[in-house]
Amino acid sequence: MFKKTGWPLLSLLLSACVTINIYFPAAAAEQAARVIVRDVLKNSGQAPQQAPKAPEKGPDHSYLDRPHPAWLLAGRLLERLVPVAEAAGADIDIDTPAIARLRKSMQQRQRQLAPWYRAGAVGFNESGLVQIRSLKQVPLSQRNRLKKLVADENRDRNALYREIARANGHPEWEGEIRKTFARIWIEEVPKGYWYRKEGAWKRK
Amino acid sequence: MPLLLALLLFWAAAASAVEEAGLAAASVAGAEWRAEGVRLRLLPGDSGRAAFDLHLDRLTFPALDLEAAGLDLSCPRLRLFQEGGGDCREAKLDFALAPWKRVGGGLEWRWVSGRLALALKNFRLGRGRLEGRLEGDQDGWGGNLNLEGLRLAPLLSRWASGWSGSGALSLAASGSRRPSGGWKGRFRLAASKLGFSDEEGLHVGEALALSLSGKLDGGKRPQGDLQLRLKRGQLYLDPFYLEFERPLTLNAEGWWNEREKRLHLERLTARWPALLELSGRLDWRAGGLREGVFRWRLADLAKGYALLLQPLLIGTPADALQLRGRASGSITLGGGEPRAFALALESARLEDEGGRFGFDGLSGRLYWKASAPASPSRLSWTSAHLYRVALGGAEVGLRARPHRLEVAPFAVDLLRGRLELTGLIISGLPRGPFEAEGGAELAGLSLKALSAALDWPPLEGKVDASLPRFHYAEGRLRLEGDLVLKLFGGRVVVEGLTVEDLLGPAPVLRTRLRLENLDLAQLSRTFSFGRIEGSLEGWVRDLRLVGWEVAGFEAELRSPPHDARRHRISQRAIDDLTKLGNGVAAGLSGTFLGLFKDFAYDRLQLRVTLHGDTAELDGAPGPGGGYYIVKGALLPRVDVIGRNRRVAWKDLLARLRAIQLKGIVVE
Repeated sequence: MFKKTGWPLLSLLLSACVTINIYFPAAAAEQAARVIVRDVLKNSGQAPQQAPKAPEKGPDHSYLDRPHPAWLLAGRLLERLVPVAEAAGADIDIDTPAIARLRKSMQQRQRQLAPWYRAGAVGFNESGLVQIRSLKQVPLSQRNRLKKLVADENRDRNALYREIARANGHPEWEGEIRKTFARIWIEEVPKGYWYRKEGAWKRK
Repeated sequence: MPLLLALLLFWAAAASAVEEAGLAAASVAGAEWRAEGVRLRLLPGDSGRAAFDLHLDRLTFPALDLEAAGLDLSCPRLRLFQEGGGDCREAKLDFALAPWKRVGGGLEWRWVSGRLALALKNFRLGRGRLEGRLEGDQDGWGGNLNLEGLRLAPLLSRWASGWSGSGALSLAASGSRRPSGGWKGRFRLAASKLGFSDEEGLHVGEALALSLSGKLDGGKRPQGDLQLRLKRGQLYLDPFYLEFERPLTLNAEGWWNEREKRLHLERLTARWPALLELSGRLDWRAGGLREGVFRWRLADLAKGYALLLQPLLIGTPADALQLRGRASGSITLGGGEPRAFALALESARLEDEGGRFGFDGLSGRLYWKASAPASPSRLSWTSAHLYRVALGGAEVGLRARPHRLEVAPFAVDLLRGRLELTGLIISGLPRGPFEAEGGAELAGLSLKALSAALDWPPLEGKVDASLPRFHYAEGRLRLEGDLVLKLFGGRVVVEGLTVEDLLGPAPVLRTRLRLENLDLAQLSRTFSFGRIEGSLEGWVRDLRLVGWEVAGFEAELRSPPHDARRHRISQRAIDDLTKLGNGVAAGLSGTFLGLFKDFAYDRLQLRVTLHGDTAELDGAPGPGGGYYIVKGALLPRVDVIGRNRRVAWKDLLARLRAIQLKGIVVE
């Protein structure tokens, strides 16, 4: 009986329990983002915010579809039997000539942007970009210069996120890398800088 | 109300025994006004003289959104004439009117034979002072007023919510009304050190000195002319910033049709000395620009670009241009859209601040029409550059069609050779997104000139190439077909070339290369790599340059099977190849092999794969797990066998750079 129905059933079970893991090395990306953000902000003339308590290094970010409890037990058993297809710890490479060039370009621009961060004219948004928060603090003659600085900075930031994803062989990671950077920028900026969260500006 | 007052006065004058008369009403209303808490007190005097006080708790004009409170009008000496009418020379009027606390001053009136003359004297509006006269009868009215020192801040707080301001205005105006119903007037509004801002700070004036004057002639179709002169100060009208080091004068002359809601400006001019001259006309109907025709001339293209064009281009690749020279042109607008334009450039210079491109001695005339092919255009330049590669002068014929621009084939000197553009079409005009496509031929390009322009090690030879078709859209350049470079006696075929984010901070170039029958003698002579004779073929796949620097590739270079060329390799070439593999030379000269100038070889083969910062090396299968880079032949036989399969890309580049090139060490 088992021969007739058991093996097909077990095969079905095995195939039904395949879990697709799309790994994004969140911890490595966070570490890489922090290195770049600190490196860029050190030229803003003000020490970056001390890093918050480092998160415990947990497993990398993955998306799991939650199975029905009935399958869970079988899944646990199968986990023992089926080797994990991709378990190697991923790393994020940020040491490429293009990334170095973008970092340098952003670094050089920080000195010019920093006074406007402090004045509250420019803040950091949820997309990992900088944004003009209010032009009222900016003398009329400098407004278009500041707008161009912000546009140039965002051009570099967009290229940086895209290039980190590309350099690591996963262009599809750009969105996750951007989200990671968006969070790290806000964590690392000095007190007094402005950032946008859920559509509202807040002062750190 | 005036009727009531007149009756009361008449009655008081007739009843001289009355010492005081009074009238009170809770409210009195007219068609467009309402008075509340009305109290009138009349004090008759001798010889037709009288006095009165009128108090209103509140007087409102709902249609005008005006409300005066605590209004007091007093006339201490009211004269009443026997033939009718009267006058009052020392009346006082005082009331509260937002935004001012109190408004008031002297008032005079005279009413004789149906003609009324009114005068305001030293009338206070906050800190402002108003003087004025109004006189007329059923045949018409005329008057004038002078207002000095009227503060802007209270006006904005009352009538422009969210706006703030500073400074004061003065106004002089006069006007008259004819019995036919027509009217005419003139005014001059002036201000100095005027400041204003909206809530967002997007419309701001600072330290402005200006005057606005005009003549208006009303009737069925009001018409007139206005002149605005901005003499000093700064203006920010997002995204434009204007600083008036020299006065800007704007003139407009036209008429208004109330029924059609149509504004027609027959003459519109702007004059900004040493910068801009503009003239034109426009027709505005029902809230939209129906038609506008303007001619303009920019005497200073650099300043014109910075003030008028660059603010619109921020965030695009054209937001960092340096321009010089002069330009003039015209533009026609219709239905809010551009319909036609003409542009004439005179000895202009255009330079990208990022050094990506530049043109000098730009001259020509460009024409474009939205609805039909425009007149032929011409553009010429005396010199140009693309990155650091210089281009010669050229004269180009262009033809603008409604949505595209066709560039006629033209040739330009490039690297001691010629670049011939076999046709270029730019589409997506006038609003974008822009696309470009065309083809090109390169003939006799000097590698020596190219290497000098790009600071590369000096190369030798000429390149002929054909670009069958290229296409550019949304920042992505794509080569359709193969780019065939004829060099080193063979061919290098560039396949599937694309460049993304071409004008961005980190352009990404991807391509594949196929190397066919290259003559190693010419190649090694060019690179001075030690002499190698023979042929070379191979491929480069997944070549990726980011920011014009190599970011990854997989390549194989090898001797072709059945090679017709002689296979010889010099001692120095072996040293150089060994250096490339190990970082140190083989040192053959120190052995008996140093007696031989060169050696025969069977085949060359080298495979390099760059992943991240590491290059993996490989060659023909060799003994002991090694790989042949050079597999020797005959006697004395020299093999170059690689053992190290992984090397840091930076080290490999450093080794390449350290190889001596004709006595020059490339750093």
